[in-house]
Amino acid sequence: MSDAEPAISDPTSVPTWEEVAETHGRFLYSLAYRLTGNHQDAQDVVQEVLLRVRRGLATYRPGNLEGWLSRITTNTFLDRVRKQKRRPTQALPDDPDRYLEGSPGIEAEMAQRDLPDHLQRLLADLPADFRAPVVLKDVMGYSYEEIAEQLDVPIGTVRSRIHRGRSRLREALTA
Amino acid sequence: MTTERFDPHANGDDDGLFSDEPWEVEISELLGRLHVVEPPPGFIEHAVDHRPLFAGRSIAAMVTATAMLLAASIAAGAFGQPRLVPDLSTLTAGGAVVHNGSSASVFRQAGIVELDDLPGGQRFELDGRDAWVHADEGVVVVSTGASVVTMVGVTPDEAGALLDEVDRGPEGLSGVINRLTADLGFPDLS
Repeated sequence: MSDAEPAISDPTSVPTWEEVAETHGRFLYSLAYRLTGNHQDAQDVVQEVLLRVRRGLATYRPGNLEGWLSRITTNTFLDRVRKQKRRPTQALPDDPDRYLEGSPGIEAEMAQRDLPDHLQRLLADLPADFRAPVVLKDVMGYSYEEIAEQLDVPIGTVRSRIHRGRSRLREALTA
Repeated sequence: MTTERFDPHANGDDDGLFSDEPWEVEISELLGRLHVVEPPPGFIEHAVDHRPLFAGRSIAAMVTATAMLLAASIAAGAFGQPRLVPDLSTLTAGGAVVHNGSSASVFRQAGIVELDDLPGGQRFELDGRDAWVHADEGVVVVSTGASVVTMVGVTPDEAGALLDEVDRGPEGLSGVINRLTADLGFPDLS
């Protein structure tokens, strides 16, 4: 565990809004950035998340605070995407893998590029419904079960979206 | 930037639930190298010091809406016609309201508005009140008699529910706005 992680909160108490902002602000921002792909939108998402947290703390039950915050952040992001209708989801081909046979190794491709920035751009190009579970799983490290709970979708759907999101990333990486 | 990453549950993995294909493992490992992204210096501190006052992105949306209203006002006023909307100097309050987990920005001007002449949107009736919506911008303008309420980041359905909530709630619209904008220095309208 690194010093960038949120401090472990007392699971039996309800934090104040200030404690959430101070202790978990970096966590919220990092997740928001990975979801939105840019600093301006990440700031907007975090600001809106803090608004929702401020209201939600009145009914928050002590427990998995980070999971609760992650859920709020992800839903805030998805709400914004749906409202803005910036990137309508495009159906993936039934078998996206067929486009990838014989492609060079991903590691070799990535070795030639600035990995974090390039990967973030590819993440940002994913449809939001794929991007969110991929970020929660592969970047933030949540389990399928936790992601299903946060997104309020069946766990099989989470698995499917992650698989398809990774497929699209792989396709982009080897294009 | 650091090279750290969050690991919210080091022991909470569920690899046994679904088996990843080798290429998926490769993608996952690449994504796992993405580091923690630091907020701009002072961003969190500013949030703590000033509290969130506006809904996300709504500052830009408010500027857009205000610009639309201003443009309408200037367009009419420049030709000697009555102003379409109250002058911006009549802006009396603004703030964020969270409704059903979604936030919107609300601001109010004293005066009246000629809804038929606002650009780009269309008239509709909102709970018996004259209103106007610009769906693409997510802007709803409601004439409440002596004042004009503009809501940003809402659909007409949400606007109706939001107005209903703030009007009938214990605080009322003025109370909600004043509470949320206390730090901005707007006058108390209660």
